[in-house]
Amino acid sequence: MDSVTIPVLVDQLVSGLAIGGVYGLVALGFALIFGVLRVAQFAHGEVYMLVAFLVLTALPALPLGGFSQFGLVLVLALFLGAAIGLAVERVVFRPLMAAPHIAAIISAIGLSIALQYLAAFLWGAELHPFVLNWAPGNLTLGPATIPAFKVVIFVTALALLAGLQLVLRRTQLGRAIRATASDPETARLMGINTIRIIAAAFAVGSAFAGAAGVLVAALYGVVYSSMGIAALVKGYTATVIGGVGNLVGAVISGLLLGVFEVLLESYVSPKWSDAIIFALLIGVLVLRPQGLLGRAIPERL
Amino acid sequence: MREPVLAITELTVQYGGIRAVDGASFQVAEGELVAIIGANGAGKSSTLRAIAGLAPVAGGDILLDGVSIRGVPAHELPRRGLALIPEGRRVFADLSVLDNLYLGGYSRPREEIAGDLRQVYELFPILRERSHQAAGTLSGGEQQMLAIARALMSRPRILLLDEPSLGLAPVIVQQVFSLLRHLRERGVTILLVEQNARLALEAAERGYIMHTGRIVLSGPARELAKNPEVRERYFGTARGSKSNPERAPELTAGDSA
Amino acid sequence: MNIVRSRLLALVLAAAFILVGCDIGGLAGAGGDQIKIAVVGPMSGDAATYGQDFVRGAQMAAEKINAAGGVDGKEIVIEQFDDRNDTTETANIAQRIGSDSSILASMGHFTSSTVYAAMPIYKANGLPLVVISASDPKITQQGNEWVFRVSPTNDLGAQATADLLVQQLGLTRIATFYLNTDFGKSEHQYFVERVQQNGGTIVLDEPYQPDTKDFTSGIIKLKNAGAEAVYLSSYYNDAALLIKQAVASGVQTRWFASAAIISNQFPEVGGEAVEGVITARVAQGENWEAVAAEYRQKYGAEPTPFVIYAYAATQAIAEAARQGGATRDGIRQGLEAIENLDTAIGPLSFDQNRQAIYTEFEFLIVQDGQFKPWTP
Ligand SMILES: Nc1ncnc2c1ncn2[C@@H]1O[C@H](COP(=O)(O)OP(=O)(O)OP(=O)(O)O)[C@@H](O)[C@H]1O
Ligand SMILES: [Mg+2]
Repeated sequence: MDSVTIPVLVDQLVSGLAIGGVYGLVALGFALIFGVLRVAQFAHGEVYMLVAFLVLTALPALPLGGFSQFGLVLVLALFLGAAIGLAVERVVFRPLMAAPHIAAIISAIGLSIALQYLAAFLWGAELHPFVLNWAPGNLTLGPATIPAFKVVIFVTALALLAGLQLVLRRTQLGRAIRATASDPETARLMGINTIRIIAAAFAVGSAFAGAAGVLVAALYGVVYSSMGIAALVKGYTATVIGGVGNLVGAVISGLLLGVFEVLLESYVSPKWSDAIIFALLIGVLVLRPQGLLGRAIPERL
Repeated sequence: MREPVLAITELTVQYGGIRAVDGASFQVAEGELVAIIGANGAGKSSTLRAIAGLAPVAGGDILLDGVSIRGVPAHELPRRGLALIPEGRRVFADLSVLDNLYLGGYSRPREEIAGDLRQVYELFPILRERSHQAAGTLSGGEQQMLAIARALMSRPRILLLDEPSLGLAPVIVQQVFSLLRHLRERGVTILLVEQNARLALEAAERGYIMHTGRIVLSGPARELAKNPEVRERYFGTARGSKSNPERAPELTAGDSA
Repeated sequence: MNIVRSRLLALVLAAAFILVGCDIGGLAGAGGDQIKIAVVGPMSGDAATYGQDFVRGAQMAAEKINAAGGVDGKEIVIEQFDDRNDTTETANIAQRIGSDSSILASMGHFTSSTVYAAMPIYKANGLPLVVISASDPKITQQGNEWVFRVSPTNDLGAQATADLLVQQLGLTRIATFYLNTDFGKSEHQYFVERVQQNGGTIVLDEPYQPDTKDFTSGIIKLKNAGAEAVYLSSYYNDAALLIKQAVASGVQTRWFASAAIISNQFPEVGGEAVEGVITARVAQGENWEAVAAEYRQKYGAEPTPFVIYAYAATQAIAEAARQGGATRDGIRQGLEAIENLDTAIGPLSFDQNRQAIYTEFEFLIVQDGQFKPWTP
């Protein structure tokens, strides 16, 4: 059918890495929260959706243009995500800390549905255009011309991921998060208030979801109340493929997933791409529950 | 007598219907190394975990430097000078040796951590060599050293050790105990829980024998070590048997000191 | 206590779901002085606005007819049903409608896929269905004598646009995107065939799944396809997003799309990127405008075409009951007999396949965020 040329391939790779970076951000936040809590935050996608809506609502009040608007939107998204994450932790997860995990999981699913309805009620169930006052145009990369914004998204995602790695490896807060994920009881013996650490992980993980939400909104040009579902599914898939609790793995598999998806849609069929990705997810869950990258990168969190 | 750093009175630990510790009282004075000896299931770990804020205290009191710490959350205690090295060492296996040590100093002012780290490395040169290795890849003995070093990073007033000899080869056990003696000489107060009664009583100044959640015997370590009942039941020598808790109630003689 | 409580909660939740799931309708018996018409469509979910349009159009017509004395003294009553735009649910709901003997005719099911799922059930129950939106021409080519359609088929607009592109504008290298559903595939096929008959070339033939929000892979192909124009067999949301993302990726071309994009949401979602997009629709006469004006006054918004089609379908069913009698088969025969009936869409006649006949088309272009008449 279509001939594969270098410009097409470069375009596909860059697009895959951009959306893959977003998946990586979602996956990382999800994995971070799962790591310290051992419970899947199934409303993670709704944090992403709510932040996108809140930023959309705030957009007219941000009269800046160009890159500074983008920067401001990103910072705002990080803060809003953190705030929502803290609220979710406090209201839904902390009261259920001592309850069986299934209680927290069901509550998270309930919260996810409730937040979708809330957003549909507040803003309407239709698609809402999301347009930044910044169009970075196109970038020439060898023979290929690619939208510069995709590169911006990829770089932003990588910068956030690198920032988190730095915090996790080099600061006492980061070590405390990793210790809590590894062995919460012993972490308390070190003087770590693990309840606060869980809240911190929620704040950071949800901030990343918020950033991912606005990046996707700007990339697709749209915000809608059910957008969190797709994000959660892709983020969850990336988390599982990367090996649950393996943050670097989550990021790498998020990126690979993005590229894989674009290639599938381009060369196999858009009809089958989701089905193939789900098959991959189930295959990994059944055959290699430690993740595809679980062994290559032993260090978790 | 010296001021007790740690004074336990009538401590009771209850897990649902199971009473793991049943009115135990004992003290540890400044600079002392005290051993608690007991068989499997005697309630030793439960006692230490209750002191460290991890196990539920159903009755009695725990005084640290004369102040009750009953009900104080576990994560507050390192700041007050109490450090527990839990049974099974519990190093953070995926984290590097250095990260483990930094976490030991979590309760300390940031600016003092580097100095403490230097001192700990002097005491444990092997850990400096392994500082960037994942803790889980260390040998059992090295992990025990790391667990002790990590606890020392919090500069504790009192160190609680739960069976540091567990699962280690005899040579390594010797090393651990000589380290404990060394620490005591440097003035560290230590409460040691052991099934290896012989070594524990050799190292300790005073000892307590625990059985089914109660302190059934106590006294200077040297005297306990000579007590034939203790030797028979906990030294595992004379008749080649291991500890024999079934017969321990005969030791309800109380304080022989 | 926790377990007991959570069990209780689960039970209460389950009961609530069951209650919400089935609306407590169908309790009214068959009244001798009523002609009850079922209006079926998506009444919940993403496409709920379409279902609402159906109901509003039918209700407006019923009020008008009833105010003028009804059908030989009988009152037209509209009862709404939710098929959730889902083929499985459609089969259930069509069966429920079919077995409710108080209902004499049905109209709706939004998409071609749901109409296909419903058609055999209506036939089995001997209940006439008037289709008011689904546009696959083959729906009325199945020989199902219980299914009528007042809305136009998509082949007409697609063919008019294909003629416009190749013959009038001289754009011969054409890329196509289509929604991978019965609607999209069929309208796409009519477009492609007509382009090829006209001597044009299809340089890209790209399907996409319903609910797609990311058109990246298709856009990359489009960028490298050398197309002079693009035709979209899409609904407004997909079309707006696709064009918006393509323009952001640096695609410069001329855009054309099916009439299904006609909605205020299209320029709303698409913004600047969709300025200049062209579509073809059936010409709208005086009657259409009169109903539209009434709608505007009542609801303060621009009606979609589906309001008008539902209105016309209600008029047709009322007239059929008048001519053929107020029974299911009487209405079916009455519908077949309709000839140049004055309705909201103008004079209505059915061809031998029970498809309303349309002959005139007009083009619209998006300008300043609105659809405006356009002549090539
Ligand atoms: N979390 C718990 N829940 C219920 N019972 C427990 C719990 N922890 C300990 N126990 C019970 O309490 C009793 C004392 O256990 P503990 O671990 O304190 O004994 P120990 O003296 O440390 O034994 P060992 O030498 O084997 O480590 C045992 O019967 C044990 O089964
Ligand atoms: Mg024990």
